[in-house]
Amino acid sequence: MALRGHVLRYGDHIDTDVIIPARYLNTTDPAELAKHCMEDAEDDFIGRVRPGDFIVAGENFGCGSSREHAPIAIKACGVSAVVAKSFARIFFRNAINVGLPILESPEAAEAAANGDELEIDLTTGVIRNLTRGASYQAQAFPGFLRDIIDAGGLVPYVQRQLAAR
Amino acid sequence: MTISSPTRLEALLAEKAGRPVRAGEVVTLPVDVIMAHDATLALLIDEFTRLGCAVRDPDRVMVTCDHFAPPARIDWADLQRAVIDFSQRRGLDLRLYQGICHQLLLEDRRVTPGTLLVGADSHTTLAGAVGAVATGLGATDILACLATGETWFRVPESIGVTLTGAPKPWVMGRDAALYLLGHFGEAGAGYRALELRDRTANGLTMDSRAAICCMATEMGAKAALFVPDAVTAAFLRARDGAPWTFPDEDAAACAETLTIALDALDSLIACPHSPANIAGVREVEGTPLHQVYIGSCAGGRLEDFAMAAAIVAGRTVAPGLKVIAVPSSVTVMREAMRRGYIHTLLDAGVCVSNPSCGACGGIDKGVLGSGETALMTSTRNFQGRLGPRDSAVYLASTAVCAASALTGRITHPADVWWEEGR
Repeated sequence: MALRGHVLRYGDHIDTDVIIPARYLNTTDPAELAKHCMEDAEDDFIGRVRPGDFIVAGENFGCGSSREHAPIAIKACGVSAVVAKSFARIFFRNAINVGLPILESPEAAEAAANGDELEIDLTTGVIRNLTRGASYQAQAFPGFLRDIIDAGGLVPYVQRQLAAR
Repeated sequence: MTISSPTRLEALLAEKAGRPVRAGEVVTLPVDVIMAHDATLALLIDEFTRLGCAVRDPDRVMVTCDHFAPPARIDWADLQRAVIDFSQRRGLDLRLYQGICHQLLLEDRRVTPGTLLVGADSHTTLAGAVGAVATGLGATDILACLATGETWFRVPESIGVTLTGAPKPWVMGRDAALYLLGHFGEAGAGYRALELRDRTANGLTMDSRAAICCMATEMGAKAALFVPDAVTAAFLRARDGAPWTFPDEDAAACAETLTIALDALDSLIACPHSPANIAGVREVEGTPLHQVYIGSCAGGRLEDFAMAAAIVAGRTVAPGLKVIAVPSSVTVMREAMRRGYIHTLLDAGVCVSNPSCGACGGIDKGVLGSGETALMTSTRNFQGRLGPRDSAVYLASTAVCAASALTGRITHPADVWWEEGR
């Protein structure tokens, strides 16, 4: 499946507190969380983000709190994937578990600028920067994680496991 | 090719897996203890119920109400009600307002050297202080653990950290954690684990070890554990005498090693807006403060209350400065009361609040107003975590916080305490 959208570019160490501040952990409703996504990272993320856009960031994206509200909020505000040089480990798991596509590619992240148009093939992990005419191969997920992703997240994966017992 | 001996982490995880494992491998392992708290468990209750899941082994679970403790808002009270009802219905070990989840785990009989512990909170690494393999997961991973009793791990590479020397009287475990943060930055230990060995002159206290393991998550570490030693044995004996074993010490092959000479270490501080933005306290001394906060899983233990009380004893905090102290558990608070620390703090004008996560997460009492600057012993100082985006937080040890509470400015502890030769 190829996704197409524009880049919203961020730096290193974007933490889950700026992705979704604790003052909004008063709800588990994705639509409500989406309203405050990236609120402490910039003034008008919600005004700027368009459905299908990609967040592209530097090192250690999603560091800090284990709050799963962070990938949920990103997904619910229409972002179709996050590309980063690297992900913080809990965010990495959370994103896969809730079905937010993430791609690790230092080269793609380094080259992309705000507003660039990307085309991403989630099956192959190929990221094409249409604005710059460049193509990158994201890190492949281990087969085991592929199974969780293919199942649509950890919940359907675990349901299947429990049913098989 | 020679095959190197396993690291302590590899040896521990191999024991769980029942076969040799090496860093980089993905293994699915049964977990010994699962923790979730009011702020994260709320996220999975509906899904868990909808799926008709059962908790596989309720005896392995601890649920804490510590983030909304007690709730100051109706929506938080609603979330917490769901957590309390869920826990009671399913026969889980519910700790209502007993303290911070990580401190309660440190005090819990089920947590011993080698325990595989997962918690729905990033600072779960703290339990490594007693030699547990402890790591934070998100809510859905915890949901799966509750239902299946197991989860997957990528076996981490280990970084060997050795602590040596005798620290200055005002240098605490937190300073070693700040040193490590300065060394690694926010991601330098990413996906890896710290294996710490205490070779200091007198042995670090369990409270200092807890502060270090807690803050390891801010370096990106998956886990941080102190190799059990005499301090560990004494702590566990005094705690509850729970039986424990640990793989024999051998030449653990850590790819990277690091030694911290504590005798050469002076008080450090993390400046806004990153826990890894490290400076010496002398470099920023004099910075005016609106609030000082002593608490959180990184700094609200008995050792912290002892240090704070020793520094403020017989004095009063700076006029107009908000000074808040929050014990990390009821056990800590009771002992701090028995020893007179709480009394001393109250006499000095410190506001002592009930055991909880308090202001650390920007949720409970002690949040910041616009343009305010705070010095805290808490875990993080990300922009906006404690208040509006124009508020600022410095992080340091309890000694630095207590010294600064007296002056209203960032102050080196040596300047207010040791000048009198105490």
